Amino acid sequence: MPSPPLAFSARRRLLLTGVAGALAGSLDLTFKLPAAAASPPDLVVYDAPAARTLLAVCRTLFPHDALGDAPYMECVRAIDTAAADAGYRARIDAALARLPAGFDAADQAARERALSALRDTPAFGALRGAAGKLYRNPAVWPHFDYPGPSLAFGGWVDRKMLDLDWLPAQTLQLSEVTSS
Amino acid sequence: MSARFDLNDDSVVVVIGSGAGGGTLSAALTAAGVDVVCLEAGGQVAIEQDLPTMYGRVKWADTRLSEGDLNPALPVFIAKAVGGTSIVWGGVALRIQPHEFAARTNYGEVAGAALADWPMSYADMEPWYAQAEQRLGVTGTHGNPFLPDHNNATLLKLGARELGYAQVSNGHMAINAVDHDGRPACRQFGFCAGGCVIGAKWSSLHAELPKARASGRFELRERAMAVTVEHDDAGRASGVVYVDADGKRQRQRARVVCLAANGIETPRLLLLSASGRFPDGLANGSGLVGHHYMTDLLGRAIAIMPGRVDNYRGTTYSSLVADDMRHDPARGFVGGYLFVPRGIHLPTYVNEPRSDGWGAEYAEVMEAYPNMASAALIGEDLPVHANRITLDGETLDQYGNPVPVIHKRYHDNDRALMAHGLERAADIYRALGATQVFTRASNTAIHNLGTCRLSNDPAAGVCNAYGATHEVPNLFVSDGSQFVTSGAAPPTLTIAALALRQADHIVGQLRAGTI
Ligand SMILES: Cc1cc2nc3c(=O)[nH]c(=O)nc-3n(C[C@H](O)[C@H](O)[C@H](O)COP(=O)(O)OP(=O)(O)OC[C@H]3O[C@@H](n4cnc5c(N)ncnc54)[C@H](O)[C@@H]3O)c2cc1C
Ligand code: SF4
Repeated sequence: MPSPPLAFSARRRLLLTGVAGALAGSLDLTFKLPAAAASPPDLVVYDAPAARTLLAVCRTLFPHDALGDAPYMECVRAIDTAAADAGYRARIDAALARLPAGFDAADQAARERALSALRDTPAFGALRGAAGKLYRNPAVWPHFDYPGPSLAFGGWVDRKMLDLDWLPAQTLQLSEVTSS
Repeated sequence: MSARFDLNDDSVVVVIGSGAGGGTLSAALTAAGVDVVCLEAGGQVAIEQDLPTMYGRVKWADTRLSEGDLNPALPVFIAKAVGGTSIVWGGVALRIQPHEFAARTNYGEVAGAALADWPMSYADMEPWYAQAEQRLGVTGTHGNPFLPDHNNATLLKLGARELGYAQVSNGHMAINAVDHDGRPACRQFGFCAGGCVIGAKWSSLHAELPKARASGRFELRERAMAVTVEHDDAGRASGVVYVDADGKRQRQRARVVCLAANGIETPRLLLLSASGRFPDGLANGSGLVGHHYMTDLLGRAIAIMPGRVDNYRGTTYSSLVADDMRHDPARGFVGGYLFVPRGIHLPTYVNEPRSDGWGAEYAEVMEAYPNMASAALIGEDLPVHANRITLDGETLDQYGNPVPVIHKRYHDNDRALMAHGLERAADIYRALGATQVFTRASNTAIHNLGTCRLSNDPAAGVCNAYGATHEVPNLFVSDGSQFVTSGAAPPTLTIAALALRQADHIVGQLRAGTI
């Protein structure tokens, strides 16, 4: 039975070829926000422009162009939830207020420069923490060829765990260091 | 079958903490016919294969302050749960080496360190290590087979052999390679660090507390936070005051009290138990309660390899590179260290190469997840008098007690050892063509040792060689607080061996009527 990583890897290569041209390109803000300054449907604290900026912040922190906006919006949602706490919100708002106009539309390099200026603010760690939740979202796992929990298929014990076919030729034989 | 004991029953042994030390001690005492009440601050946790969720579920989140080199936001990660930190431990089960039991003799005087020899020798400990290994089912010992190979372990072993290392093996793990002690063989789920869903990895939760319960002599009170150990007019421990699950204060009387609350809460409890007779803390006539705090040195190497590794597959840790465990001052430091492979799952990978990485460059490191190999370094840190646990003068916890302050600054020897080891780790992966290697020292402690050190001299240690406090003969320290030096190995096999030895000693003393 083929193991999940092999199945995923074909898909990954496709994805990577597909986005190769876009790697240096500008931000794809496909998430549709209402034009009015009302909160997007499931955000409580932040209105649409703030949500757009937070989305751009999350994408800047961990940019994977092949990923759509949906998983990053989950991170924005986490910030929105945490911002129910007034202190947290004040820190985030103070940080956002220091971002230059046009941040959302700037390219990655310019946005990184802008975020660098916030590095020593108390909000930066909070924003990085929320954006880093991206990798907890099962929706993004296929992109990283990460299969997640192995309970459903009974663990790796009966599957391949040793498949280092790329080792440089001069290295020791595998059998010299393995016991099984 | 659980027992129930009356609060006024003063014939019981009260064990504080149900982790590796407290669980093993409880199981061994009850097996010998002793009645045990175990007070555990945490509750039962359900185990699932999601690391961030599990860390949140078990984490000891009561306030702690940090002064020195440890991460102020998270100086220490331990568990508050039935089963304690043994739920999430990695299972690397190694002995402290013979020469390390006599560290002062073998290393000589090291300025700024309070090195001492253990009050017992390796030969004294050997039978207890053997018993602990058999009990925990440690792989590669006593006829237990090794765990199978996987990519991440194999790369570490191959790279080490390329560099000329010789002591390279599949390691000694308290994880069942075959069914053992009523627990199944490992399915290689790869989520050891969040808790083993099937109990293939030894833990107090899966292996010891069930034994204690089955004896019919054991009562576990969960969500019961011990706040003071009391003594009688004769200066003997008489009971433990705790806050129960409903927030009510209770007093359990006791014939013997054993502290197995992990190396920070154990000395804290003694300090919180100061009285007119023991003004500096219970059993603290030496003034050493809380001192000589050691964490082991923990480092990590993350390497991006030229091909796929998929290192989420199989046991998180396994295998061992042991050559550098030797004491060889020619390397520029005393003591030694080891490498073990360490599997990393995508959700926690974001903080691994760097704890503060971000931006396009870091995203590429994230994209390289499938090609990532990783190892951990564990090494000996030196006991330093000023590294200690104290009580804060202002901040109180939810029970109204001063929170602990953790003072820890690395000794120059610690820094030299870490630098040496991280460079070697990087070399190991470079020898196999790694395109990028990230190395760093961890600043969150997961081993907490030395804070009630053993010594035959009451002026030089808190406990005697069996963990009985010098001043209060029926009060025992039953966790890593007893360590005199840390050794290069991680601590838990030694904690379990000490617990078995202490149980045997307590049973003998109870029978003789001396406690
Ligand atoms: C991620 C991780 C990986 C690890 N991997 C390894 C490894 O591979 N090898 C190794 O040797 N070691 C490892 N360790 C260390 C190992 O977990 C500990 O050495 C071991 O659990 C310590 O046992 P203990 O009984 O002293 O403490 P614990 O297991 O922490 O148990 C202490 C218990 O006491 C309870 N408690 C504390 N204070 C009170 C109080 N006042 N009243 C009531 N209850 C209280 C706590 O809630 C806890 O349940 C690892 C640790 C971590 C965090
Ligand atoms: S790899 Fe083995 S020990 Fe680890 S969680 Fe899975 S079954 Fe348990």
